[in-house]
Amino acid sequence: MQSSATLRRYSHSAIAIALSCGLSAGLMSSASRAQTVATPEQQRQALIQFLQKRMPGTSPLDWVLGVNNPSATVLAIPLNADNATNSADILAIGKKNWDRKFRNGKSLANCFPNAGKRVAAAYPQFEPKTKQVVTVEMALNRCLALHGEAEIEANNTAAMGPLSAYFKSLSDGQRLMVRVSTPQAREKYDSGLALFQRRIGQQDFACASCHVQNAGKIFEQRGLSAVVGQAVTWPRLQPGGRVLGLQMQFQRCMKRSGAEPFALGSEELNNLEYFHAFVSNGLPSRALAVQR
Amino acid sequence: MVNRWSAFSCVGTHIFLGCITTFPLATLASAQSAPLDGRALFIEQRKGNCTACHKAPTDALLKSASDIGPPLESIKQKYATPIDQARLREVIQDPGKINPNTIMPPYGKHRILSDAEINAIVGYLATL
Repeated sequence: MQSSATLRRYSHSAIAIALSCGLSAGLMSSASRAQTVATPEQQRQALIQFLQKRMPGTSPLDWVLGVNNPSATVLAIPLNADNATNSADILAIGKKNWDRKFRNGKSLANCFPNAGKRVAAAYPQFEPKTKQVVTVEMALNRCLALHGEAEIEANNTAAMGPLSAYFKSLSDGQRLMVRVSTPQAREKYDSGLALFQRRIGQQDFACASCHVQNAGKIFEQRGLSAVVGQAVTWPRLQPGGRVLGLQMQFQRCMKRSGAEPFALGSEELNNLEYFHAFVSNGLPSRALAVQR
Repeated sequence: MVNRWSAFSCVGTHIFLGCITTFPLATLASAQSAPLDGRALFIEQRKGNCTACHKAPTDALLKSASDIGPPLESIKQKYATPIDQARLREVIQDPGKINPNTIMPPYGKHRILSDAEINAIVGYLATL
């Protein structure tokens, strides 16, 4: 059983996550103290408790496809018979690229354990050797480079989108299991959390402003999704067959806040994705599960 | 034209937040002679965009499901005196001064709206 002191600390941490987007210096330093005290898993649990108070009667599984606000126009639309063809087409393109033989006779499957099956749900990963967070896109490009193949540019969504979607689809149904298990990994997680909480741009929004503090409410006539559950359905399929990656959505939100977004694959967005994926741990992964 | 002070403000934002604002910070409304349309500024996405967060129940033509901020109604009664109206202008100018937890943008402080545009919106709010 958790002690009341522990619960207070969790609660403080949740409030810090929810409200520390540009609060007074005093509260910010309290939030920082709470972050160093609580483990990432304790913070994740506190975040879930906070969001469940905001959206009573719901659980993280309910947040995966959007928000639970009956009056909201939910952004995320589950794939159905009308658009499943697009999804299948995208995955077929991705599979073709996945199976393509390199000039040395190898293929992408050779770079991952279990030929890439049930692997992607553990990404992003912290890599001790290089002391950086490695995303799915980075891992795919590293494999290409290792075998003397041309890497795919971060903004080449026509190539990277279907390929990353197929790789992630090999983990469909797997529960996200992103690990933050060393102090160096914790630094990256904390850096991602700090960016998640930081107010940016002319509009002065933080990620947490919408996706924690006001999760479940309606902004611009659309429901605001909760941060927990967001990471498991990426990449997503947009009308017209374009594949939207999670970091591209981060960029959209930053632009919406009136800020120049960080580059795709930048350390800032990689760390943000690391934090973002960690808080969805335990939820089943499903590539292209929704479109926006 | 972006005035020099605004340009410096933009650079300051870049250094402090690690990002560059994308919207022009200066507004030229104060230089305009025609009266500003407070209701249009209230609605316009790149200006007030107030219906993103608020309902305005007494404006029959404005439909909003947003529920982040409180519904804007009876403003004339709530902010009846010139002192109250000055306070309302301050809220729009920099809401974080009054409520550090708010997610309402600092319209004046971040040059989303000019003083004249804020006045025009306050004028429209008084009709609600």
